[in-house]
Amino acid sequence: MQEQAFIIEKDQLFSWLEKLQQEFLLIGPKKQEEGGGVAFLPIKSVQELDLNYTLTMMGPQIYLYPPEETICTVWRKDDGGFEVRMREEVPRQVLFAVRSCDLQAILVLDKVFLRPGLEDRNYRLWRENTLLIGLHCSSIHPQCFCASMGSGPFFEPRQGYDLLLTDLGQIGYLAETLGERASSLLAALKAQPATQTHFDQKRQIGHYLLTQFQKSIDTTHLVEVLLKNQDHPVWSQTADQRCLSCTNCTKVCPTCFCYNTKDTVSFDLVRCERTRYKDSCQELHFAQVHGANFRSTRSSRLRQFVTHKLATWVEQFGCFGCVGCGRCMSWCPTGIDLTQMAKEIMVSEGLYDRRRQT
Amino acid sequence: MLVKKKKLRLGVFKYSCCAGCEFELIYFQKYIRETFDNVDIIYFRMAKSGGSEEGPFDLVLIDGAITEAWQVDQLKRVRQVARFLLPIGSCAVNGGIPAIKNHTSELDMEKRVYQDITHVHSIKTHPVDDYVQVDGYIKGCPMGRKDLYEAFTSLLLGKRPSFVNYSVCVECKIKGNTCVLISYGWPCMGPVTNGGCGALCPSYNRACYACWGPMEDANAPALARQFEKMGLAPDDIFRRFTQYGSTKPEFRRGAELYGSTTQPF
Repeated sequence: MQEQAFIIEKDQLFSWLEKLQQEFLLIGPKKQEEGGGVAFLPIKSVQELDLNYTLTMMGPQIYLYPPEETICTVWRKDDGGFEVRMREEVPRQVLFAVRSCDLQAILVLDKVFLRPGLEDRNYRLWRENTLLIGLHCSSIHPQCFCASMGSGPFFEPRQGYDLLLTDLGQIGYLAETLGERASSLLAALKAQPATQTHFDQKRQIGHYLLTQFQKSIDTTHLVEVLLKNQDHPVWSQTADQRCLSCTNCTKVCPTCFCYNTKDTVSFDLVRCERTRYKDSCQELHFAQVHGANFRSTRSSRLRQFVTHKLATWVEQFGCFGCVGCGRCMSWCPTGIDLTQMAKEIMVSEGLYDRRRQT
Repeated sequence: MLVKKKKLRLGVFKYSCCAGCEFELIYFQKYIRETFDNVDIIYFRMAKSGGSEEGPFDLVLIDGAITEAWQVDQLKRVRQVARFLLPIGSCAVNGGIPAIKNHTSELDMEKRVYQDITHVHSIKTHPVDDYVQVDGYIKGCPMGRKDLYEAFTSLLLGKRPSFVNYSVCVECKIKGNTCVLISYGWPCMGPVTNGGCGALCPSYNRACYACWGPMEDANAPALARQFEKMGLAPDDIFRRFTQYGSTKPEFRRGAELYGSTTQPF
């Protein structure tokens, strides 16, 4: 892959984005009205962008894997056969200012949906038509723990994105490209190549950010410990006292990929529309099969969420399912914190040192 | 070669309610032609005079809660001549608004409403499934059109309907609404309430007040305690969980922590 690094002045970047808008739908962080938070929304003018955001409710992944999407329409033909119409095209879009945790989450979704032989058609369609531009954080939200999960504050893998930006203050952005597409789009800018000084600056910012985390989780023995403690009282206590089974945690989780499909048939029974929507393991009916429900208790569902994200995911996909974005605990109506649950288990195993971690 | 069509024989029975669900059926305008193409109305007092209570029916929709003894008798008769019977709307599904009276003694409530109670023969409010077996629920206040549509088309196809059974939060997340509970600290009932309304109130920056009744297996006590932490008075919490659907154990368990509920049985 072709990698280049430039220094782009801030004004220069915004006018470049404006040019991109002629070809692409620009989606970026935007402050919502009436006291709402920042959300990834289609951007009309670059002035609307809020680049200092720390946490959005829904991740930018909703533009790659929509929470609700029509996947095909089936028509019954007069000769008794069927005609299936799939989605053929999606708009070309730029996902701008995606944070490191969300870039990592997209890599995780890639592992899920682009597995050889098991490719998800719609996901590939959205993914291929999306230009992914990352922007490193310049501050850390109290709920963030990406450093613990190895997914931030700076994005280390050299894959998945097109362009990765780091805010170097007055100098502008350090822009690292990956692949042909970004290089050719940036060529028109004639930006200065970045030097070692700029990378040193970036490293310094990284060191500063690492001191800002208020939340952390020790992942050294996490997998074994969680798998060993399937019957730990923390599951039933948290489930009974606080978990509402409202499914918010899984809906806002940027790596949750489970979906269900629903068929809506027209009254004349000629046309059937198949919609898929993000499902949730926290819902009672998720594990319902003929005659039984594998997870009929709330504690088993809560345990499924936590142990999947922090333990069994590793065996399944070779990485953690949690990217440390802190969304599940931020948008939980009762504030259930998965790092806290994991810590309680580690304390009972004698593995957690209170002096070392916050 | 289309599916052979036989018209569905429909019965609609109304008990104690505002009749909004029946209006919803009459106002099923977008599909009115399709509905009449596929449905024969056998008994539906609000839409058609006459008609026979005796059926037989392919589909019976029950609107309203049970609050008088004669309704129980009729309901049982209807159940026996109905292939499928679905309660429609919060009153029939959960007791709805009429069930607010369940937590006051019957006589006190009657005296508060009527000057002369000699002609009042009311009993405690019950949802339809307390008396007869039902084949599903079309929840909502008024009933949700999505679920009504699903019920009709499923019956025509001969498949099991799949009704909305997740919380209101799911729809807020699909819409990307700002969470009114977390961002504004309002006592939103969304997390324990059955979805299907498209998160109507939170979409307009209002807290959900649970008009669709409880989601199956909702953890109301946990939300009630959260409301207390947020500073809501016990009375307010009690009212939140008894305004709709307090006949269902899901909500009653939340209400019980903050006031005395009477179980209808």
